[in-house]
Amino acid sequence: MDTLPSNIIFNIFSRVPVKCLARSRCVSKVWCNYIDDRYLVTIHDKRLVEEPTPILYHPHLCREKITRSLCFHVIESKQTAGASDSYVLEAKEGPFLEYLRKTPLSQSSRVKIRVQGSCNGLICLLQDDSEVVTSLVVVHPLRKECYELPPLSVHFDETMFRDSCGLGFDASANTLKMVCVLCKSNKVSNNPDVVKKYLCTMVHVFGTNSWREIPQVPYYPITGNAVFVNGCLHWLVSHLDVPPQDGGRPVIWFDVEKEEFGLIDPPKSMCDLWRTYSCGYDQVVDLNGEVGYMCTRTMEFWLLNHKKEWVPHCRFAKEITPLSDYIYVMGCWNNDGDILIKSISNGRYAFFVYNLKGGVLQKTNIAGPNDAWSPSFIMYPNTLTSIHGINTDSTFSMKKTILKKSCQHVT
Amino acid sequence: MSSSSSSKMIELRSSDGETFHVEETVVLQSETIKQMIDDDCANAAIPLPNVTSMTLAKVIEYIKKHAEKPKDDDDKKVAEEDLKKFDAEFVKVDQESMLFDLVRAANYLNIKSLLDLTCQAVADSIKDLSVEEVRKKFNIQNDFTPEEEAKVRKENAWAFD
Repeated sequence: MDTLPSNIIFNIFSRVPVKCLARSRCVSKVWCNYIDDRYLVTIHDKRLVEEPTPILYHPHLCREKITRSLCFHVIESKQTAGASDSYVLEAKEGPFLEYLRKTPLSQSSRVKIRVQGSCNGLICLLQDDSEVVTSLVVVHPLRKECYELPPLSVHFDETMFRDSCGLGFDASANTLKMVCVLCKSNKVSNNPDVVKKYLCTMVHVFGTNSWREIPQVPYYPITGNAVFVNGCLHWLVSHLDVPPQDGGRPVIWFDVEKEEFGLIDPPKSMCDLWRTYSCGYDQVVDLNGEVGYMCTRTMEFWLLNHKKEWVPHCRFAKEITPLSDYIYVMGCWNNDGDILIKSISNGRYAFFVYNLKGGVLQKTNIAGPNDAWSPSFIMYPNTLTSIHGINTDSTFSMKKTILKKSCQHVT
Repeated sequence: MSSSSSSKMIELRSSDGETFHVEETVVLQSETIKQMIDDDCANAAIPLPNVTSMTLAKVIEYIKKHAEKPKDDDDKKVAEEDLKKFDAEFVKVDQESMLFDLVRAANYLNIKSLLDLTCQAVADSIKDLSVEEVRKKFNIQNDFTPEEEAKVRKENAWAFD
């Protein structure tokens, strides 16, 4: 096979499933080089769309109710016999990865770990101590690699009401970038020139050892998780900064390659606002590689098209929507676009899958670990990029070995 | 297309000197040969120095089957099913080397559907094999040192369960 022309070898490999390719890296150096080649990523992702793997994560609590670590479990979906639209989810025994928290800075302080979005299968984690984010880490869950970013010199508020960050991939430079947009003032203003002075954009290019401040800032402070799609990061505008009487919340985008910001108006709701929530609970979410917007008050979903316009996607009927306090969208459960949501009511959580074709919502039976506290999901993309390491840069891999201590594999 | 052109025969010569006569309409599925005919280079036998007679016979079997035209819509469905079955049987070859010969020939003759079919067949055969089985089946020398291999295996440990 090695004597075949390279175009044929790429053609063959582009038809092999991701997991098998990951395994085949061990066959020989020649195979490994072909599989790691970026050209294969381009043609493979076009040819094969594989189902995402759900990864359940939850903070593991110790007796003092303090987060001790963050555990990741691979979840298997089992379809029950006879009922094709009922989902039984079972965590594979034992976490396959446990991310340990840092030692608190003082005895009274608490350390929390939170998942702050993902990009190409890499998960961005934030740790905070005494209301300040103290550490940004990117984890490759399958390869169990871990990359800690240099410390930020600017205050990053733990509440994230008006601060956020996002991980994106710059395809032109073949590098990952972390972008933080931080708000330096508690004041709220509608004057763009004033807002501009509050905001500060910091960029870290992976493999370097510093942050740089760029002159570009968004029109408003941002909040929540970032969604990385088509080379751009997308965040919701902080709900403290948009007039509450308006329909929804605008979305800020950031082109990771060009380092430019833009603003997208909120989608226009077509039906009555029947749920009594503010748009503060609206969400942007990755729906099978597209930017989705969920309006909490109508349970309508939109997708962002290439012209950066919202296109109506689906709507949960009133009758099927659970009467809960909060509804969080986790992402798409499968290639059919079925949506996984978490509903929280009186502190109890339940997961539902919305069947896009049938318009029905099915309660799932999460058989999670006993010590799981408020689990959430990451829909792990089975794409070729997701099997690549965080960075193969040599100066970086040295750093990686030291950091591996904090990223332990539980056997 | 006139009937005279559809019955025109093209002569192909394999690397081991055997000649094959194929209708022009059939052989046009090969972009490489089509180009030669367009350039008026196909008056004498077309030499194919990269394709053995055994492989060429298989390729001709394939393009002949794929050149059959269904008469009507009902026939079309039956023909499609029939073609699917034919393709599935076609890539069931006894020796792996024959499959690779077909891949090479499809690439050289530039017959896209045959290249897709044979590449998919190779990909499918890799899918369910262990690393050791892949090496054995495709006769690949493992050029990793044990340490290097252990490192790569560790990086992708998740893919082995």
